[in-house]
Amino acid sequence: MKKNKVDPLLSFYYDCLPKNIKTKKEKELLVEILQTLTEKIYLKPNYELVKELFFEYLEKVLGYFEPPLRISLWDYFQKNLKNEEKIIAGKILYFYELNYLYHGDLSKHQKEIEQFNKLDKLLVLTIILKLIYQTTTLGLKFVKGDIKDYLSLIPKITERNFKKDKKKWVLQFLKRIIDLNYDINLDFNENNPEEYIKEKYGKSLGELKKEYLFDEENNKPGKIFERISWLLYKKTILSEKQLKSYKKHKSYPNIFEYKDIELCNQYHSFVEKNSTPIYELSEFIFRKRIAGFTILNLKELYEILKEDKKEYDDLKLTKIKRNLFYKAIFMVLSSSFMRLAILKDKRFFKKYPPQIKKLFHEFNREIIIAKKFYENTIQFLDKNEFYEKKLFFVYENLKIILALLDTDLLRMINYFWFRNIGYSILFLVNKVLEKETFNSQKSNNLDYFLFGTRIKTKKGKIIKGYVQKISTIG
Amino acid sequence: MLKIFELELAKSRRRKRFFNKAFKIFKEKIEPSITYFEKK
Repeated sequence: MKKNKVDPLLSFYYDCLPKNIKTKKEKELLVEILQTLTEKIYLKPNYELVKELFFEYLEKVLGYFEPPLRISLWDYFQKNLKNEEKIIAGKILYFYELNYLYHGDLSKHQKEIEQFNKLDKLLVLTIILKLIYQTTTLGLKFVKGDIKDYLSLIPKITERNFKKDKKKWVLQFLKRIIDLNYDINLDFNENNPEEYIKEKYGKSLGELKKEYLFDEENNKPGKIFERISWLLYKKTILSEKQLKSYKKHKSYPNIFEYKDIELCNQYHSFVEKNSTPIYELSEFIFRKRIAGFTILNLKELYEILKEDKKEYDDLKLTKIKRNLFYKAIFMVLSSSFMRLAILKDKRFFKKYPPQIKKLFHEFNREIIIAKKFYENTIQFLDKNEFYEKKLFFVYENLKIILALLDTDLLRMINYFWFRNIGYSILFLVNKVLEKETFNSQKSNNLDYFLFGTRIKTKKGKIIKGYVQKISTIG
Repeated sequence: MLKIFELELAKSRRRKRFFNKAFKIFKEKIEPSITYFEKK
């Protein structure tokens, strides 16, 4: 209350309050409204309102873009405006350009400003609101040219097979995120893989390695090591025709393409001579089927996808798996790209499944709320309310939208948007990889999961099973 | 981020709720003074 004595206008508002208002809070609230109505709306000339509410915002958003965009700015801002509004919006943008050219010194244009100040205040505020909304959509165009790219991409999102040019686009997009330094690195300190393995298999990683890979203490080969040795040995002594059934074995997709194997008729000598490639292959199978691969960042994913399928990458991905990766990336990207389209087209949402809608909502909460505010304000303007109330409500909502879509926040939203994309892509891609590993809900036996196959009985019946003990050959 | 916004939003809603009351004061006591200042 001491401050009121210092500011005569503020004490004037307090003096105007009826005597029956007792609480301090209500007094403060009423004074706040009176102050806004008087100083921020009524006494503020139109030009000052535009400068305060719009120019600063536009300048900051434009700061994100390359200069050539300024040329087509007017075309962009004309959208969503009625004819009468277009003329005033043109004037506002003209003032903005003058401010830019003369560094804020508009002394030679005072007459134009005076004319502008005579315009209806509600109309001016409404146009400011619409221009801010358009500016926000500009703010979401984080990199020039992207809009064109992804609008052509969206209608094709449901395609089953991704054409080469779409894949190329995805790779370029991943590269852009990496180059912008927005790549994400999954931190496993919080999600300890050792604990995860123990929980999933009931055994530690070390114990599993001993059992399935190699027990170095006792110099005893593990189950996978033995199976790989046996399969490779078989390959060296079997004919192509006999090999056919093994080639179908999904657990070891690329085993028969493995080079640098030294031929030997005697099994134990074969294993001894080829222990390094056998161990490498066994370790790969162990990681792929038990421990699981995890792609930790987009750079890693980019390198894997870049290789295409001619040369085997580190994960020895099949074409189907690659397409699953692309599908995951497309799903995340399409849900993210929708954020701009949603600001313009209501029907846009109807095309997409609930999962994508959910992702979209998570990514773009602030933008969706701002959109709702914008639409509500436009609707409110058509209501049968008195002029001053409209003036005040539009001003209030304008401030809310500005706070919600603050340029620094917008920049941050863009940053989080990239990070979210990165995280979601890696999450889905790693889920694809995790499906390759043992799942206790689907199978209750790890050995059956690893070595299970169709076996033909002596009576000719085909059963599913696996041979628990590998017969010693040689 | 949203929490700050929600706080602002709550304040704005309160202001809108009290608008009619404030507007009455504005019309009766403040607007005549504004007109006086503007005419001057």
